[in-house]
Amino acid sequence: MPKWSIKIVMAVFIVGIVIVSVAAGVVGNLVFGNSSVDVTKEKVYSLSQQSKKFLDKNNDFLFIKLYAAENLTQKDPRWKKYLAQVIKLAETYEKESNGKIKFAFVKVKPFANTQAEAEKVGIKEFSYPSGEKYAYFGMVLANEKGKFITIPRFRFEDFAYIENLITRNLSCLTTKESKNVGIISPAFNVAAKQTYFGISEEWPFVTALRKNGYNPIALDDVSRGINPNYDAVVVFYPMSLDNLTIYSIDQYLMRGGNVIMFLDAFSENRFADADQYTNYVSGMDEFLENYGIKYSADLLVGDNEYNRNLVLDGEKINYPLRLVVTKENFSKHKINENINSLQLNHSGFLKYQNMPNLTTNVLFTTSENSGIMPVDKMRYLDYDVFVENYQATKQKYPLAVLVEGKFKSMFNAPIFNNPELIAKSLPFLIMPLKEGKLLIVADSDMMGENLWNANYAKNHDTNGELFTSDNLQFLLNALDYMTGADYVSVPLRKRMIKQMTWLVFLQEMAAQKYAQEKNDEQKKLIDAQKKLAELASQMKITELSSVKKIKETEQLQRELDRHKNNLEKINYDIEKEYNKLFASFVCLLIVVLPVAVTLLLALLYGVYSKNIVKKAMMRDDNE
Amino acid sequence: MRDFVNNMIVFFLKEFKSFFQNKMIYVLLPIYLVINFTTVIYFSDFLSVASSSMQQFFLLQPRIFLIFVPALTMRIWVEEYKNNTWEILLSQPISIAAAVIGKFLAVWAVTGIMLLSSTVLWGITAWFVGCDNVWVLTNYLMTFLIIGIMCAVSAWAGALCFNYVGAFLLSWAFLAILFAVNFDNLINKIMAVFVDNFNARVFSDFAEIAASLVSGEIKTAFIFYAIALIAAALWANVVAVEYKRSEK
Repeated sequence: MPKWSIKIVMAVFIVGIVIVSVAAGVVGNLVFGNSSVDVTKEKVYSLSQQSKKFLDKNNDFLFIKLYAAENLTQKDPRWKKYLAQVIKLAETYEKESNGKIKFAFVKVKPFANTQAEAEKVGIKEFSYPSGEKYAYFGMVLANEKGKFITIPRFRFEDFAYIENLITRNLSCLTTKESKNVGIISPAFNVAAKQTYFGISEEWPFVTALRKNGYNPIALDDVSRGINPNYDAVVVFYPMSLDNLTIYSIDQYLMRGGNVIMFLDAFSENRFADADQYTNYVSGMDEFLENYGIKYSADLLVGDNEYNRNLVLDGEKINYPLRLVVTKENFSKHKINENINSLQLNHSGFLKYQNMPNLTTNVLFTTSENSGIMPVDKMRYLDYDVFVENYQATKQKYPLAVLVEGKFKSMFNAPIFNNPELIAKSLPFLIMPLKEGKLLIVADSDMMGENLWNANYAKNHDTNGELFTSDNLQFLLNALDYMTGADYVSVPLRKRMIKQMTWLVFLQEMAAQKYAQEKNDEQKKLIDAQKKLAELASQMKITELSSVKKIKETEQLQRELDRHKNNLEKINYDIEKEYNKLFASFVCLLIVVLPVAVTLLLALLYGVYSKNIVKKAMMRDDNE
Repeated sequence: MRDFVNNMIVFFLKEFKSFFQNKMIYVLLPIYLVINFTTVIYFSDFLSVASSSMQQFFLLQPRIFLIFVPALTMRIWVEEYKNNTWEILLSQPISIAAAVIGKFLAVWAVTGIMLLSSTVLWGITAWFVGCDNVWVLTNYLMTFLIIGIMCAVSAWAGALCFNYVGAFLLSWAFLAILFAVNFDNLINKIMAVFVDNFNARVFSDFAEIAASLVSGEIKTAFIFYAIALIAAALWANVVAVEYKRSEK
């Protein structure tokens, strides 16, 4: 060894650490690139089988261009991780596409050409939490013909859907022509073409169809029949459909058409209550019975087990009529692929019987823990009325049914006599030409934006959808299946299940201890409030209050205050219990466990040393 | 080769047992657990934010071991120097590499025991709150690998000193340098010149690599980085001991 002074050796070694660290990083990256192993249960870092299948089959040249503000990663460390994940995902597409997909990353600089380019292709600018502008983080997907689809902005909440968005949009770019979907919606103008102040009147599910490779067309006049070249027809809440429209749908099905029908028992009855309107019922009963389907226009169905709570007076109440359909209640069908949960509101239900030449499949049902109530009792959405009239029936109710095959007409002859109209319309068919498909869903609210898009609450954020359920995905799957479209349905990267945290766990444990007591007190409080309200209304009617009534009111008010105080005390006790639990938890981790683990280790080593000594002594004895 | 392995095992056992015999482990282990759980509870969002991988806990580990690794490695060579046993050892027909690797493995095993003792938290979290157990297990293994790098670098620094305090401080300084080294921006700029559409990557940012290894996606490049760094540090350790011998 050369005789260097210790200072030089130290300096050499410090430089050595730096060189070795950098060299190991660079060599590792050059040799192994981005190869990695995904150890997560939900495979959050891998492409799904559906995406891989699409990439294998794809023969078109496609481009993925990611736009991100130059300083995005400096503003918030979370952006750095998110950007890296999106880049990694895009690189995986490029790597697994057999050279068919090219990925490029553009850093957007303020007031530079890149910023103008990003804005031109529809990337939406947003502000950093600090208020600073010029933040961009979006993606453009394009094919070689110049057609492109823009994902205007990635948000943290979107991570579960990124792969879903990219694969589906790429598959839309590879399709030669978009599929035409006719929309019949007599109650609401869901496919409106006009815009007011730049805001489209079109319903978001119709916009979503357009974004997903379909071309929705409003069918306002079907007097000449529905063009059999339409790939599908969506009938949305068929309010007071005239015979001519029903006749057109009937004939379209016989020509091998595909119809998706969203019925709505609740709306039919609710609107029918208004005096000036009399005919809000669908008029589809006879039409559906022709195909073996019976629709409960006078009963609503509820699910006691799977539903969304109703918030009444700040308290969450189990409300079966806000249905949630979960995985266990879907049948095994292509339309249900990658659907995890659906949300429905005040839904009717369907009955069915098998008809000759037709195959009937139930797609989803309520759970066995369900119930029904007469729809006319529920017009004013009164919870007390619901409690009085809801009956648990403990049976499953079909909510969506798919009928496929050769449909027979419910008409014996063309329904119009006008020779001019007969000449202009499609010829009447009494025998089916081709096999058609009819999907009936017992609730039209299902396509209402509030049941699938969290952005509904954010005043229609223009930055795209934020899914709260798979309602839209169900419609897309149904259209894909019925029209034979080759679009790809990709499962979400992670399910929208909130995982428990330690603090929530401790809070729940504390609350559990006082749950019964709190429930009793809450019931008493509600009773007292009701009595007080009743008394107040009686006093309002009689105007002159008797001394007895006043005394009664005062007594009730005192009772109310007592219950309120009791509730406050219970809440305080829960908080105290929580603090106690938290302190015990901290004590366990910081004091008990370290001592216990150390003692255990000492014990183990003691036993081990004793054995060694014993063995050595025995060896000595033997010798 | 057989002799080499046998010698390595002898050094490993001697060093490993010494941590128990001089009761050092019984002092460091509870301190480690107290610091560990205190930081997890009060200085991270482990309790309030749901994470199926206990990521907040693992992200803290390299920083916590920044104190314990120098404390463990400071004595492995200094003690030999102080007792003059190393001259006897090195005068034997024993490879220095076997001694270096054996001692390194002993320290690494002790850190492994310390890390293992924290699995109690994993157990109660899995039982009461729920987590992705495969991911957590992988995170433990990756954290152990990261600590391995720290042990190797720290042992190398410790070999250059003749007293405990010096060895501790120098080890800590070497680890601090390891954490601070980050030429990623420069490397990315150079790479962008040579490669079309080059996307920025992590090359040498130790903290970033440690965080990436517990993110659920294990990059082969980072495993290579860890192994290469451990190997390089052990080789440098051999050189340092040789240097010390020549200096005497």
